[in-house]
Amino acid sequence: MIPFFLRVAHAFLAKALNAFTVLFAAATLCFVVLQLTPGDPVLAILGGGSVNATPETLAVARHEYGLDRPLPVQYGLYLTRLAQGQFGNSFSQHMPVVDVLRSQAPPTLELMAAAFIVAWLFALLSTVPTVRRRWFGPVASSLETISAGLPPFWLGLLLLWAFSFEFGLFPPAGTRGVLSIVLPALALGIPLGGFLAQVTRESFDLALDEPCVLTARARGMDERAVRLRHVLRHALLPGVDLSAWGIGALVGNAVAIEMIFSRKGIGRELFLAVSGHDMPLVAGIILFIAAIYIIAGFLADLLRRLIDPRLKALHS
Amino acid sequence: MSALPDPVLHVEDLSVSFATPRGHTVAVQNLSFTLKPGQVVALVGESGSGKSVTARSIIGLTGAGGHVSARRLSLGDDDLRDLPERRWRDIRGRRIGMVLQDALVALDPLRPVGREIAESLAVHRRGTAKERTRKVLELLEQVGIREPDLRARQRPDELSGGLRQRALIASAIAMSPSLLIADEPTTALDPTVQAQILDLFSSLRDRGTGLLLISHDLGFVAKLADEIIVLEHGKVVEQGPAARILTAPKHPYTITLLEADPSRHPARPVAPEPTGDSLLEARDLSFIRKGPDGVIRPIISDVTLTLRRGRTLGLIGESGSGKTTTSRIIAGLLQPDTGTVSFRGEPWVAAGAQPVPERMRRPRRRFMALIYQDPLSSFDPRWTVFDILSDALSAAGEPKANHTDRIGELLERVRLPCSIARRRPGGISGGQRQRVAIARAVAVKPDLLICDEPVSALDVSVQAQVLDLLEELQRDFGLACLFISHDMGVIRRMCDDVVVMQEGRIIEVGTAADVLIRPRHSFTQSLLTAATKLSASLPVVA
Repeated sequence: MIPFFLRVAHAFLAKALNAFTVLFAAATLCFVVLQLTPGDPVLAILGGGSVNATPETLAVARHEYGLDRPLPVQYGLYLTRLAQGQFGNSFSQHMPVVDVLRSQAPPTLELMAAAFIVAWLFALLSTVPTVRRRWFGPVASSLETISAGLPPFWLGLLLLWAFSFEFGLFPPAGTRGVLSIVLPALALGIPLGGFLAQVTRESFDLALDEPCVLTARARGMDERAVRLRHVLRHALLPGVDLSAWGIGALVGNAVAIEMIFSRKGIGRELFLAVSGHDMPLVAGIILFIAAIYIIAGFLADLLRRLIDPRLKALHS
Repeated sequence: MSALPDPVLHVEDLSVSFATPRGHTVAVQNLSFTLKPGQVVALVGESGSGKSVTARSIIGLTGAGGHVSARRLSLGDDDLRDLPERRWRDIRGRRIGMVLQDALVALDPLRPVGREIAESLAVHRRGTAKERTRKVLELLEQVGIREPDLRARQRPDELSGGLRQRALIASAIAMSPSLLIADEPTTALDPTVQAQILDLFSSLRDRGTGLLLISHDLGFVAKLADEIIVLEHGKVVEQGPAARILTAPKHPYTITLLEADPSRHPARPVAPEPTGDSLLEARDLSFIRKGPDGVIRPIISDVTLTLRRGRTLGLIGESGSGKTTTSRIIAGLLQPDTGTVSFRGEPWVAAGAQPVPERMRRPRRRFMALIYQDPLSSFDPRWTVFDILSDALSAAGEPKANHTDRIGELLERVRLPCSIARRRPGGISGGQRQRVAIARAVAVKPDLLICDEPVSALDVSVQAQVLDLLEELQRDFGLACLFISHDMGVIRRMCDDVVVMQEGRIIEVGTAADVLIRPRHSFTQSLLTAATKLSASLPVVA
């Protein structure tokens, strides 16, 4: 028999290796993409295209940042620095990348958390009471399909126009205060909620036919208790799996939403960094996002085992 | 709890129909019976005969689109027709309990069984949470579960088949309902467990519970029922006192059901002593795996057996005894941890560092065919029957040009209409599917047929037909057969030799006549006792 701690260590190592691979792939992709995008990084370092730099200044800067070395060497140096935790300085902001992340990440994380709550609230409220109900079912189902198809940036513009400009209920821009997060969270959360609701609706419908549901009804349980205490738990897994993917989608869409609502955040920062060829900042943000992704996957895994304890028995 | 007035269930002219896109389908027609406390009424019939629908309509859970009508449907003084949902909830669980077929899914598989039982009490607001916890333990003890403290905290998948079925029954009788509906309560269980559940039901009856017992198995019903109702396609074909129906059945369908019981079929004639050359030899097979609790234990150990040409070897034992694992190793689908298998005189499976490479096995694969319990999951659902058989013929090296003719022959052989070739497995009945599986198996002209519970999922009358067919094909093609079943009746009917397994080991080997009539090992004796207990009360039809 293998001792318990060895099994835990094994599982942990496997997870860590997995996480490392993802981070490595993200760093590499990031390097490749920045090499492929047009524009000269040296110009970016010196302060953008408007600077009239002499060829000599350019050559000096190029040498100073190691940009005149062969690509494989640049790639090697880049990985070495990342591995040592040196994210370097942002070219465009002239401050350490870590500091940029420290100030920009919290608003984005708040936004994602809020959007995530919106998404799950929408998904649950739209499915649990309506699945297999004569009128509400089809109506809620169409609503979910429409929501899932809405592009967040478009929904964001619509919300902005309606609730900020027409009714003036929410501030149109900024990162200050609870109210400022409502519209962007809705714009991000509603489409994701549509997806979550679609998969939850299907699994909920299947779970309603489980024999244990009939047993529960035969006990004299009312419909609401049957749905909440038995069916829901059986129906949650696909949505939880999709949520891990959803985190990725949220980060991607946050870029557009933060631009539209002029919010602080790494989405907006990423957009600026890419257009400004700010290699260190792009790498820092991408790795940060990859880390969020890994943590989300890990949490989803934990949650799945909490919901379905049989999984633990299978995987150990 | 105050005494309930006259808890008698009266059912008169109950009819249930369902609205479908193609109009109304009648599920049950004009069913009448009376169920008193301490009495057992049995509804018997094959799948689709309307038994389960009847059970559900009696507790008001007919399902979507269902329409129930009756001249009388009452429990004591309460008219159950058009009862509002609120009143129904008060009756369900408290006055009528219900037990479904398979406790693995009939109890919520995500929760410990103790919580399920407590829920039966909580729904009817019985006691405080603390009192309920104590009551749960009492109930578990009442249904004969030892260590109730431990069992209450386990999920259905952590309990054995017998324990979880008992837990399910405990959850149904938690509120001491005067009536209990049991829908196929033992169908998926081993005979020893079936016998235990049978005992539990009879003690419930003796304590005054009225039982509506639903089953396709007349043998099971015979032990308990006072009255038997035989249903075919929703119509009552025969109804009367159990003793009369079992000894003097009038309707041909009842007679078919009685005769289809494999234990009433004459045993296979004693075959001459095994002289044929051995087709397959398995030596010292063992297979070790880590259990769900992380403890490594052998699934099978030191299994040695020989299959000779033209003979049938039965593999018997309770579920979890390693029968299927053994058959999968023999089929070359699972690599054992020790031991060897040779097939047609050459190595087929070898444990250890030098396994037999698949390329050496492939030319001989076609001489071995498999039939599973559930053919539906072994077919590609998008393929037609023609595609399935054509694929098997290609594997046997039959040129494409001959396929249409050969498939026609095969379907005729297994007595299926040619028109079925265009259908998909999802659209045909269970019996027809198993015939397609048999046709696919014999299409490759094998020497050896491995049948893993080939008829357990089928209705008894269909079972009899499929067994007849297997017997005939075996005779005509001289097939050797490895036959796995938990049903002693089926084994007695089909097998020349028998191997008994318990907890992964072979405990008894011999000819079927010897082992089944004069078992030496105490475990074999208890298996057979349980089996006879279930069917002994059926008189043999001359």
